[in-house]
Amino acid sequence: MGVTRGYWGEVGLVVALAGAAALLGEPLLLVGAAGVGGWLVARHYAFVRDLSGVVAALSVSQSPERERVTEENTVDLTLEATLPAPTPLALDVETDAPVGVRLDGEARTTLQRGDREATATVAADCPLAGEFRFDRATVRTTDRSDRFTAEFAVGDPATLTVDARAPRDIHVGTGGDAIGTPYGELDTGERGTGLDFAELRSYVPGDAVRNIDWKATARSDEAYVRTYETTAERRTALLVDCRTAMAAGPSGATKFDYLREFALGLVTYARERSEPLGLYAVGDEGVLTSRAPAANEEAYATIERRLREFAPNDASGDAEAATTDADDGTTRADRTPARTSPAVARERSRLLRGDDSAYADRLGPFFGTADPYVERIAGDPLYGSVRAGISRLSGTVTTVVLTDDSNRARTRAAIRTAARSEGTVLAFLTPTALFERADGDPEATYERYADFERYRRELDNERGVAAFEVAPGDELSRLLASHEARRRSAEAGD
Amino acid sequence: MAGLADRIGLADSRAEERLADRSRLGGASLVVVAAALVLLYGAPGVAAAAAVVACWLALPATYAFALGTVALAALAGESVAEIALVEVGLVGLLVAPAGLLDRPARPVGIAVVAVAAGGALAWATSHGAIGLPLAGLVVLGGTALGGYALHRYQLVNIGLAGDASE
Repeated sequence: MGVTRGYWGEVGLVVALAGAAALLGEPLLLVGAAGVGGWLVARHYAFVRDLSGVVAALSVSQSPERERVTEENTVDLTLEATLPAPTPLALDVETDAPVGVRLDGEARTTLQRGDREATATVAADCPLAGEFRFDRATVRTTDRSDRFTAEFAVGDPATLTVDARAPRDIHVGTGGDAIGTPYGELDTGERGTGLDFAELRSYVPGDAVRNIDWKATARSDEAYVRTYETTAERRTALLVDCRTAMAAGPSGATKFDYLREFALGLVTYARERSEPLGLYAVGDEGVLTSRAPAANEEAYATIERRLREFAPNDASGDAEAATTDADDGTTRADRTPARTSPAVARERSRLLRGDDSAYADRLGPFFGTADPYVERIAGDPLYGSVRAGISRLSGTVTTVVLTDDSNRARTRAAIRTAARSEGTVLAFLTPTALFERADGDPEATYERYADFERYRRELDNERGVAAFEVAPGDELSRLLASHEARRRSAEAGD
Repeated sequence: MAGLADRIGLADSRAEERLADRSRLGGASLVVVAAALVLLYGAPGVAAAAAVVACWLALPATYAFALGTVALAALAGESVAEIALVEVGLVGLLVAPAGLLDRPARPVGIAVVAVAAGGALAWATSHGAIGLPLAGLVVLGGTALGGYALHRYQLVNIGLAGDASE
C-alpha cells in the first residue's frame, strides 16, 4: 500500500498543529491536530474497507485468442475484469507482455467507480518461437481523496505457445522417390529365442527339445525345430549438424528447419515406443550438446526443447547469404537466441568491449563466456562427436545423422566411424542444391542435385549405412519435372 | 500519484473532493463557521472568516478546518459555548467530503470521536491534568498508530504481508 503527497501534507499539518499547541501553549490547537489526524485515519479506514471487498470479489482473466500460434504471427489478448457488485473504487487493471512478445498498445482496462466489468483487447505480436508466460495482471487503485494507493496482483497467469515456422512439404526419400518411413521396426537379422516365429529348420544337435515342431517332424523324415525372431531394444543417437552451412535457405525453410522437423518426428516416434533416445549436436567449433540415450519423458522433452532452441550459426562469414530476409531488415542471427550461437555471442562481446557504460559492464561477462560448447573439437566436429561420444556407447546403437552434403569427405568419415561400431547408421542429408539455387539456371541446379544423389548412393553403399535425402518436396518435384520436360524436349528435337 | 488518479479516470480528485464540499453539509458548515466568527469576534472574526472561506475554496477541506482552528485559538476567550459553536461548524466542514464515500457513517464517526478526544485533551491540559507536550505526543502517537494498524491490516488482508514487491 502506498500514500501520496497529499497524505504527507496532512500528516505535516497534524505535526504542525500539535507542535504549535505545545510551543504556543494553545490547547485548542490540539483539537485541530486530533481532527485532521482523525479524518486521515477515517479515510484510510474507508479505503481499506472498500479495498478488502474489491480484492475478495474481483475476477480478472487474461486470455489469448489462441493458446498456440506460429512464429511471426499476431494473436489477440483479451483482458477482462469483473465484479459481482459495482466497485466503490476505480481500478486500473494492466498486464505486461513477457520478453519476446510485443503488444500493439497497452493491455490495460479501467473499472470506473460504479462499474462491474471492463474489457480490453490488444494485439500481441510473436516474433520468436517459444513458450511465453503472461504474469498475473496488476491492479492499481487510489481512494477518492487521492491520499492512499494500492497495487496487487490478481487472476491467473496465461501461457502462449509460439511454434517455430516449420516447413510443411518435407520429402524423405531417395533420388526423388519418397519412402514410407525409414525408421520402422528394427529387424536385427538375428535368430534366436523370442516371441515371433521366424522359420522352421532342420534339427541340429544342441537344439532344445522344446523347440522341436512335432507336427512338421511327423510329416517328414527328419526333425524340425522352430526358430523365433529376436527383438532387441534399440538405442538411438541423433547426431544433429548445427553448423553454419545448415542455415542456407529461406527463413523458416532452411536445411536445418527441414531436418529439425524430421528429428522432432523421430522424437515422437521414440516416445510412443519408449525407445531410448540420445542427442548429440555439433556447431562450427565443437559439441553443443551431448546426451546419452535414455527412455524417459524428461529425456524426450529435453531433446525436443533443445532441437527447437538450436539455430545454425549464420552471423559469421556469410552473414548476407539468405539470412537478411525479414521485413525490418533484421537477420536470423538478430532474432535467434545468442546462447546457441557462439559467433553471435563473440560479436556482441566485441561490440561491448569498448563501451564503458554500466550497461556494457553488466552484459559483457554474459557474452564473453556465453560459448555454449560443451567440448571444443579441433578437427571436424561431426567426426569428433562420433568418436568421443557415440562410439563409446555400449550395445547396439542406431546413429541417425542429420546433416547436409557440404562437407562430404568428413561426413563420410564420421558415418564410417559410427557404422564401425555395433550398430547401424541412418544418414539423412539435405541437398545444398535445393537450398542455394543457381538463379536462372535450372539445369545447373539439377546437375548439382544429381551430384548430391551420387554422393548419397555412395554413402548408402557403405556397410551398415542407409542414406536418405530430406528436401522441400515441392521444390524437388519441380526440379525433377522441369528436367524431365527438358530431356523430352531435347529428345523430340533430335 | 495525482498522475495515477488521472490515469484511472478520476480526472482531478481534488476537484472532485471540492465538488463534494459543495454539498449542502459543506456549504452549511461554512456558513456556520463564518457567521460564528464574524458575530462572536467582530473585525478580527471577519478577517478570519474570509481566510477560512478562501482556504476552503482553494484547498481541501482539511486545510480549511486547520486554518479555522488556528483562527479560533487566536480569537477565542474562555467561553466553551463559543468554542463549541465554531468547532461544530469546522467539524462539518472537515467531514463534508464524506459524501464521496459509499458508507460514510463509520469514517465520520471516527473523525468525530477524534475531535472529541482532542477536545478532551485540550480540556485536560487547560486544567493542568496533563502537559501540552505530552498531549501533543498523544495526538501524534494516536494518528500514527491508527495509520500503521490499518496499513498492516491491509497487507495481511490482501495477502501482501511479506511480499517484497509490495
